[in-house]
Amino acid sequence: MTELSQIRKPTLPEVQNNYGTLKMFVEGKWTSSQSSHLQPVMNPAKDETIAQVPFATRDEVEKAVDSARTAFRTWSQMPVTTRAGYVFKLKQKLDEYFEDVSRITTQNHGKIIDEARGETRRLIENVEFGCAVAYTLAKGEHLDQVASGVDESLIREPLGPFAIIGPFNFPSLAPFWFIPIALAVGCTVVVKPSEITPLPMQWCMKAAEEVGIPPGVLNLVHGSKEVNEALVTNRGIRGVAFVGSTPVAKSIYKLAGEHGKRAICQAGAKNYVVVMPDADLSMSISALMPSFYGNTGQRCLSGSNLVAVGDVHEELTRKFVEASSKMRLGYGLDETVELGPLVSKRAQERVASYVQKGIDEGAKLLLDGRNKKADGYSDGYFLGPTIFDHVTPDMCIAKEEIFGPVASILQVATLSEAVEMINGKTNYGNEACIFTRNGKNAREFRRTVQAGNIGVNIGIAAPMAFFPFAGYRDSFFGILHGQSDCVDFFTDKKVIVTRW
Amino acid sequence: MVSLAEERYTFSSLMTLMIECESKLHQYYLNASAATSDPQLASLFADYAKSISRSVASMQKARVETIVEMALEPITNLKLAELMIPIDRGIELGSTGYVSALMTIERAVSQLYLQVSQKLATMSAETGELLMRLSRDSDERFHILEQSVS
Repeated sequence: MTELSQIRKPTLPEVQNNYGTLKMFVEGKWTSSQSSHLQPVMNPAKDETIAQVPFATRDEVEKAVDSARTAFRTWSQMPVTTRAGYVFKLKQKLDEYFEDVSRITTQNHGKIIDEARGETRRLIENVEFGCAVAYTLAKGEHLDQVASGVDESLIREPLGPFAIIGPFNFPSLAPFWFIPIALAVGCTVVVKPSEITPLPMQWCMKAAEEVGIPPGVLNLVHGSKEVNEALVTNRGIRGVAFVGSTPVAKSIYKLAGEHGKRAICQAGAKNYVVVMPDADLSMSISALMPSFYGNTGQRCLSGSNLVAVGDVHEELTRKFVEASSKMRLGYGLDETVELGPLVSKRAQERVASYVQKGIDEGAKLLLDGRNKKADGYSDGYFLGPTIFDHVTPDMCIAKEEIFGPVASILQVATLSEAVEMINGKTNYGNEACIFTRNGKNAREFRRTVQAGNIGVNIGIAAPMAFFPFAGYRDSFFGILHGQSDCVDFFTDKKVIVTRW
Repeated sequence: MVSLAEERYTFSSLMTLMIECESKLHQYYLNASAATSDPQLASLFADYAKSISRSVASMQKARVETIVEMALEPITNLKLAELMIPIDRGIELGSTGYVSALMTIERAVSQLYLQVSQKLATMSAETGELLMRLSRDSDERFHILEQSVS
């Protein structure tokens, strides 16, 4: 008799067991850092060191920026078709590296392989969008005869070198919200991935090297806070795109402002998911799983507060707990695993401390993920789905960003009350979702709720590359958002009034 | 025979199961082609094996490259075990010469792909469409096999 385990493939192989001490990519060459400050890069499923990441020195950051400045002179003057050609080639090369990048993402971050593949697919969509941008959104405007014998035109000019600072949770995708567009419009880039998850970007940079993107156009440095500051304050950098937590986003936005730099800073979140009594509960529960537990809750579009409106509370809670308790934890390279570990030991401890805080605050713990184990990975940073009921909006667990697989269930009587809570009880405004079969409810929700990304019968309202990644209040700093708004971000406008 | 006590899948694990099924079918047609004494059937089976081999490659590509990550819901409420039973039983018996055995297998394969295609449509539209097409291909093979015995 054939058991399912025999049909299933074994755990997918890792691309490498160990990646050594990571290098930086500057002036088109891989260079070893002179820094003595090294940090281990972990596989969070195994609590195993898989690389060492050096924190770049100030001189090394300076050199990377110089490289981007020098390259900008020729890159910005290159015909748009040539630049777009490089971006096309990058897309093809990333397609070749698709599985490697995905498996490395799972190995370094912990997310399950399907999530990692989804991230890589989306990364490549952003590169495709970059190709399109070169020929479409980067175009100028022209109007004949604005006055007698006078014409007026607008052209866009690339601004210069940009710093792109990535988060740990989407280590390859988030920097690629910006990189392809920067390159397509003629800017150059110094990218600094998270020091916790630097490996996927290392692999993407290898792809860039192989397609022959001219030296200095795309540079990679490693490090943490000091490197961020060195980049943002460097005179050669014209702007900074950042994705990460709200406190760091605020500080980078402030620092960029002080130094006259443009900044897009996408920050943290505390997302509400509202379930109406008329919702299709079966469909809703399925959608709540990736919303609350996708990426092990470590995404700025994760559901965090589940708001039950009216009499749906009892059935919703029962079904949500039942579905959550069945999730299988483990190493994400095992295709059957549904929930990977948290990214670090520190993250695991932090999330566990929030669970304790919820108990101390008087919320009712319905499902405790702290003791849930992953078979064969006892050292990994796992924490299973955790659900609190009887949560009130003033509790810490309802207000603060936990960034883990923890759901807080709140109960209100009406939709208006739910919207009032979302708008009034949190300073975040990244995402809000509603599950309903009533169009009027959906319309009222999308019109009144103060959040940048709205889901209607969707648990993760993630914009595609050709829409901006929005965000309100403390979830976003700046006026131009990621992805499609980046054409404005990376260019200056020049208006030419002509009479002959 | 397959025993699937709790039918719970991720996108990849489900696709792996489908790929495994298609690969077995490919091997079965190859064996049948070599074993039969009827040259027409041998040629037909060889053609099927070739086309199924291309389907395996398409499924492998779909498994890896087409996921809409934000829609990765746990996949439940599938009843694949009862469909896998005739497929596995037919293949394990090795009754390569019997068209009727192949018809039984194809009937189950078609239903299997149809059921899974509907489940996967929101996670990966391409995969949903691919499995729908493979279900139709299986139907077509069934009808041609049926004609060959009548």
